[in-house]
Amino acid sequence: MVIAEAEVDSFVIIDRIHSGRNLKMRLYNMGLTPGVRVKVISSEPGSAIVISVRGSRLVLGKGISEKIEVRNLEK
Amino acid sequence: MDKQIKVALAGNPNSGKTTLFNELTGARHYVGNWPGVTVEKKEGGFKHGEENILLTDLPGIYSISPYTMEEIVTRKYIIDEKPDVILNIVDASNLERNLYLTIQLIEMGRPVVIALNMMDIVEKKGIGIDIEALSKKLNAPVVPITASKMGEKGQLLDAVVETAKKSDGYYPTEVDYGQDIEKKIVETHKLIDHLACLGRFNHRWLSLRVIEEDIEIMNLMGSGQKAYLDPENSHGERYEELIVKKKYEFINKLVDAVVVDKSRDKETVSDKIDKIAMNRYLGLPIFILIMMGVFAFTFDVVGNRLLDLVDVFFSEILANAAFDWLTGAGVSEWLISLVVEGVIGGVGGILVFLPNIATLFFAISILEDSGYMARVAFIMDRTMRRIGLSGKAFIPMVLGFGCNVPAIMSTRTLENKQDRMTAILINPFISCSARLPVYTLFASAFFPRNKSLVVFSLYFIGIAVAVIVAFVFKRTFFKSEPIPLLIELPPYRIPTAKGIGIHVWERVKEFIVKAGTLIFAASIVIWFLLNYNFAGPAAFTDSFAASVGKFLAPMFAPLGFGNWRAALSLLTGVVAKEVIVSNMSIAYGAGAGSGASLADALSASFTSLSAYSFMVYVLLYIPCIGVISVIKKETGSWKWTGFSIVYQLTLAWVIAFGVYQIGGLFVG
Repeated sequence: MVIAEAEVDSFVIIDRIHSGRNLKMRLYNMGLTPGVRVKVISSEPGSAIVISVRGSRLVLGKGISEKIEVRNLEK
Repeated sequence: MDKQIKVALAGNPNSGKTTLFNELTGARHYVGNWPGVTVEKKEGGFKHGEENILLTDLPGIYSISPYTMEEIVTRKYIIDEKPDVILNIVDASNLERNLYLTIQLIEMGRPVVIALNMMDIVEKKGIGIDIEALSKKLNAPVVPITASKMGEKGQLLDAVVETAKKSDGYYPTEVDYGQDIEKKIVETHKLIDHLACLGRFNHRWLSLRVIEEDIEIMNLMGSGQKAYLDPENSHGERYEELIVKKKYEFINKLVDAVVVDKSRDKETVSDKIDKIAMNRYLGLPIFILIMMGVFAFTFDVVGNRLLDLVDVFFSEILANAAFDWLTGAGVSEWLISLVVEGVIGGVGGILVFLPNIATLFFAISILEDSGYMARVAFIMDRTMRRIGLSGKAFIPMVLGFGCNVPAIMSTRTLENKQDRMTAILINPFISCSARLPVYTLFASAFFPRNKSLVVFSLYFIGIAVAVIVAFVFKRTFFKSEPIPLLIELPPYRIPTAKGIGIHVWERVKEFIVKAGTLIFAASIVIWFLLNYNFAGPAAFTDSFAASVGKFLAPMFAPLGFGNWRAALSLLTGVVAKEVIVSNMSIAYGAGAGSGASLADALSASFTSLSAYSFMVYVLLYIPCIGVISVIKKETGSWKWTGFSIVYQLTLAWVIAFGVYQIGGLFVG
C-alpha cells in the first residue's frame, strides 16, 4: 500500500519511493529512507498527511504520499 | 592579530539558527545578497576577547545536496569562502535528523564546532545526552546551549576560536560506507585526482560526490566524465541512495550510543495543538480568526491609539513650534513653507503611521517565530491546490501584508519556476503596510463609523484579485502541475522578546530611514514642484505639479477622482506608497498647523464613493520602486517586470472603474 492509505496512529515501514531522482533524493535527505519506521500522525482523504519520522514532523502533499510504498509494522 | 576569524553558521531550518545569530551579533549585523543567486545573506562582526569574528548566517538546510537553491548556495559558500570554522547549530531534541547535516558538513573538510541547542527542552523531556561521547565520536567540539536564553556565549566562542587556531591539521570523522563503496571511493579518487579544477575540494568528499553523480560537480568536471563511473552497484542499486542510507545508519548507531531515552513517537504538546489547529474543519476558521486578530490589534487596539498621539506631535506641536521659531528667527517665508509644509508635512505625514507598521510587523513576527506559518501552508494547501499552487505559496502572501519585498524574496522556497513566477506576480496585490496610511487617512475621513470594515474590505479585495489572477496565470503563462507539499512542522515555540524585538526594530529602522531619505527627498521635490512654475514662484494651482496632475487627471475622471492632486499623488506614489499621503498633506497644505486637517480638505475633492474607488486603485495599481526592482531581480526578466507593471495598472483601472460606476448606481 502507499502511505496515503495508512491509518492514523499506525506505524509503517517505508519500502520504496516511486518518483524521479530529484524528489526521491529530497525525501531521502529528510530521513525518509527505505527501512525507516514512520508514524502516521494525521491523514484525511484528499489532503496532505502528517507523519513523524526520525523525530521530526513532516507534511507530505497528496502527490508525494501516493508515491511512497509502505508496509504495516506489527505492534 | 588583526586577522578576522571567518565563521559560517549552518543548521537545519527551525533549529534556532536565527536566534543564535542574533544572540551572537546583537543588532550589529547587516543583510546582503549572495552574489549571483538571490538569497539573502546576513553577516555580523563582533569581538570575543582579542579576536575579531565575522559570522555569516547560511540558509537553513537539511543536507548539502544539489536539490534546492539554499543547499547549493551553502555549499558554494563553504567551498569558495573556506570559513575558518563552521558553527553547526544542532537541535538536540531532534538529533537524528540534525546530525545528518552535521555529518555532511564534517565530510566537507572544514573544521566544525557543534552548538547543541534546545538543551532546556531535552532536559524537560528527561532525555539524557552524553555530550562528551558525542564530541569524541564526531571528533568535533560540542557545546550545549539554549539559544533563546543564553547567559554565557563564552564557552561556545572559546571553542570556535580554539578550533580556528588549531594548527595541527584537521581530521574529520569518517563514516564507514562499507567495503563496496569504500573501494569505489578509492577508485574514483584515482580517476579524478589529476583534474586541477577540483583541487580546492576535500578529496574524500569529492569522490563521494562524484559517485553520487552530483550535478553541480559533474558540470565542473565536464560531462564526458560520466561515462566511466557506474552510478549503480551489481544489484542495480544507486550508490547515491546507498550513501544516504549508510549515513543514517551511522547516525542511528551514534544516537543509540549517546542518547539515553528516545521519546520521539510520543504525542507532544505540539501534536495536541495541531489536532485542533490543523483540523480539517477547524483549521481554516482558526486561521481566519488569527488574521482578523492581527488586523484588529494593528488598527484598533494598539496601532491607532498610538497613531493619534504621534499625529498630534507632528501636525500640531512640532509644526507650530517650527513655524514660531523660524518666524521669530526672521527666516524668509519660502523657507518656512518648505520646512513646515514640505518637510514636516511630508515626512511627518508618514511617520505618524509608524505605530501601525510596528504593530503589524510585531504580529507577523509572532506568527513566524511561533512555528504557525508552516501550519498555514498545510491549512491552505487544499484551497491553493484548486488555484494550481501548493500551500507553501500562501506564506509569501501572508508576509506580503508586512512588505512585498521580503515576501517576494521568500518565494524562492517554492520548488518550481512556474509556481514561483505566479507567486511573484500576484504578491503586489497583497496590501502591504505602506498602503495602510492611505486607507487609514481616507477611511477615517469618509467612513468614520465603519473604518475597520472598509480597511478589511480592501485587504479582502487584494486577496481575491491575487487568487483570481493566480488561477488565470497558472492556466495560461505558467502551466504546470502543482508541486506537492513537502514541509517540516517545527514544534510550537513561544517567541522570545529579543527575537521579535530585533525583527520589529529592523523594519522600523527601515521605515524611518525611508522616511528620512526617500520620502524626505520626495517631499522637497514635491514641495518645489507645487510652489513653482517656469515663471518662478506660483500658486499651487498654477505650479509644475498642477500641470502634470491636470494632464493625468482626465484618465482618472471615470474612476471618480479626476482631480489633479489625486493624479499627482498617484504618480509620486510609485516612489513609495506612503508618498501618496505625504504628497496629499503637502498639496492640501495640511502640515501648516493652521488647524485645517487633511481629512477636512479631502472631503472637498472626494465623495465617499470616489474615496473608496481611489483606495481600490491605490491597492491594485503599480508596485513601488522597491517591489519593481525585487521583481526584476527574482524573475531575472525585464519582460515580466514590465508585464507586471502594465497588467497591474490596467487591472487597477478596470476594477476601480467598476467600483465607481456600479457603486454610483446605488449611491447616486
